[in-house]
Amino acid sequence: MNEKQARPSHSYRGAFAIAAAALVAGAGFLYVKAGQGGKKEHSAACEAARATARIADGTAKGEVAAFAAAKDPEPMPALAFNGPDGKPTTLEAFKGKVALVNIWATWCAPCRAEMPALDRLQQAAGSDKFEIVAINVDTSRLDRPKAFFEEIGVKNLKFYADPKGDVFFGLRQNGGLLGLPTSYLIDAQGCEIGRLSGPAAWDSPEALALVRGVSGQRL
Amino acid sequence: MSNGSIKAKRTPGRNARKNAANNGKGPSIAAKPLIAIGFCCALLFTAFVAFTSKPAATADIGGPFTLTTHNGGSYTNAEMRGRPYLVFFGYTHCPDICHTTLFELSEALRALGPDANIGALFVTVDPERDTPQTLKDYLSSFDPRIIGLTGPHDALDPMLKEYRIYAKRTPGDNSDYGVDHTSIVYLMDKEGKFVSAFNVSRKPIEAARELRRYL
Repeated sequence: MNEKQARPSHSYRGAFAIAAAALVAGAGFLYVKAGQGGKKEHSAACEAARATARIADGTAKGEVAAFAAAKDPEPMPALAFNGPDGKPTTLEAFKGKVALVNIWATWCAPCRAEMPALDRLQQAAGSDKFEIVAINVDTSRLDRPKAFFEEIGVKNLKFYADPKGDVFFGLRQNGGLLGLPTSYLIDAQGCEIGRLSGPAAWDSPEALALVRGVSGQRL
Repeated sequence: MSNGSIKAKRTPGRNARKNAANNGKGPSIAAKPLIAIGFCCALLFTAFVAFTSKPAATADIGGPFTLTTHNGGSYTNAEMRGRPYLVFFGYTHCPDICHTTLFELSEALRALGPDANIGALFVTVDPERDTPQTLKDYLSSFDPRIIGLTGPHDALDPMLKEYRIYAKRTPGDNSDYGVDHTSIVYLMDKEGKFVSAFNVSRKPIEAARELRRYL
């Protein structure tokens, strides 16, 4: 009687153990496969950005210590917005130069606060090798963003805007955007070197050193 | 297993019954840890279900309030009756997350279309600085259906409690301080009953699709 009872319980256990082992092995295989596939694809597109990101990581100190260099640089998600003339442009159009893409809105107090400093950074470091691309993401009261630029007397920044809200939500989904402002430092190939979430003193010597180091300009 | 029967032969009488019982336990001795693990899992699962389903037991979140809108008028919970609404707590001087969430909420409403009968409340956790006028300026950048609410602490604090909002002023002088607070967006149904926490950090069209189910 005892043995009759023991047998089914043994075979259940055996079947359970095999099923569990198969499940773990399967999950492990998928995990490893997914991890490898993703990494290989990206590192090939942004190989040069790896070294740049390491330089940026070492340079980002003081006022820009919050800059988070990418450990495994990836291409930026595609972004479409309007240029200074109101005509559609894309992030792709900025390939060939290093860009500091700043996402801002008039309803974001810290964004407004850092804008004069960004204007000064553009004056100090702007060239055919580097440009600050401040993209406004206001979706209503569209007279406000330009009025704000005039109010603070912006001299060097161009006015880029996405009144449709696609840039914000695109970066929210795929660009690690948590809040505003967020600034992305992007190399000439369109790969993200790193990002700074929140405001910063962009006219500080540390910020200047960061962008010059990445854009290959002499200090 | 044969061990038991040998013992039974040696010690008849009182021990016979004991051994008979042991014989019965034969297979279950090996299965004991499994049964114990199973029992623990069942216990844990029951505890988990009991614990996590508590907030979903509706009517726990929300309740009556009388506050002042960004236009200066008086506003009570009764005025949202008949339409679903979202409730969110924040303050205009918030450094980042508040306005991002408010913007996302606003875009979800915009994706629903201007005629959708849905409401939204932005309740300040910083009434000292968020006067109706401050709220009005701030909210003019967002969907016009969002109503800003402020008021004295004795009117505001009970509402924070009803919605289980944690709000604490962080160090700083009177013009430059932060307020740590819960940043959940609550979805309430047409009867003013709590439905769920609402995820606004997704594409506005997707958020709108979910909201449409409660219209």
